[in-house]
Amino acid sequence: MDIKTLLELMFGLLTVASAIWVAFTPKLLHAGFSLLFTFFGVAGLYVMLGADFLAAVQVLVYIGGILVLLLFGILLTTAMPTAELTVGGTRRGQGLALGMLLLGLLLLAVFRAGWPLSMNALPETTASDIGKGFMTTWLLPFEVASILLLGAMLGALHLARRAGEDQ
Amino acid sequence: MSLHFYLVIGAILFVLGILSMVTRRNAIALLMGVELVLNSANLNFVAFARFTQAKPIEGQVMSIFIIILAAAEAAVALAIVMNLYRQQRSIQVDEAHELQG
Repeated sequence: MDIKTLLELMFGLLTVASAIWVAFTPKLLHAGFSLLFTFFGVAGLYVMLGADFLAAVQVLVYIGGILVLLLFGILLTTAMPTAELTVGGTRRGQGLALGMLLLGLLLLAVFRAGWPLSMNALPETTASDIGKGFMTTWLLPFEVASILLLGAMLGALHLARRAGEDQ
Repeated sequence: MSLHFYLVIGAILFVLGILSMVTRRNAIALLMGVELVLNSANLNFVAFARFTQAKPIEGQVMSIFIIILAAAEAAVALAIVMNLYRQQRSIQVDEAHELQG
């Protein structure tokens, strides 16, 4: 077994194990910190797939941005010193049955479908190609995404501020 | 490793995300489930771009747009959760029934 296969297995195991902990732990902060390892494992899998720039974006945006936002959210929405940071779960049995059904369906689809496999030659680095693509082929979605981000930022500020004025 | 390895990991992540969305009552744990689902979609895009006929860059650009959407979604959703907390002193989603008709 060469080192690449070993690393892929390791990152895959890290991703799946920590995602299972995210879905099943009763403690909210544990779920948050476990999500860190899931995002990191997925970033490792991106590297194994030859997507170096995407792995960097994953670490920057997901771990540096979204995860910190979620942790702030957890701490800000809890009456701190006394409250137990637990996650209530309802209908565990039904949810688990639904999940197993869905997983079986997906795995059936994955292994039965005839994917048109072919290995492309990987580019040395992807960042320059992606940057050129954003300025040429995907210019319109790029600009729309920037407007969306501006709108989301203003909307989030507005929502958070309105509540403060009500008090 | 083949395409199937990544697709299986993507499927497991997706199911775990759906599971946390269905069974959790805390709004932020629910958001974590959404992030898991988006990550599984990203992983599938990149794996397909690597192992099939498509150009490798195209799937990665799609994933970057999904990450942008996830960031916007997380910011707005957390602002709504904060609002809910200020109004109800709780972010258990089954206790938020003020808008029920």
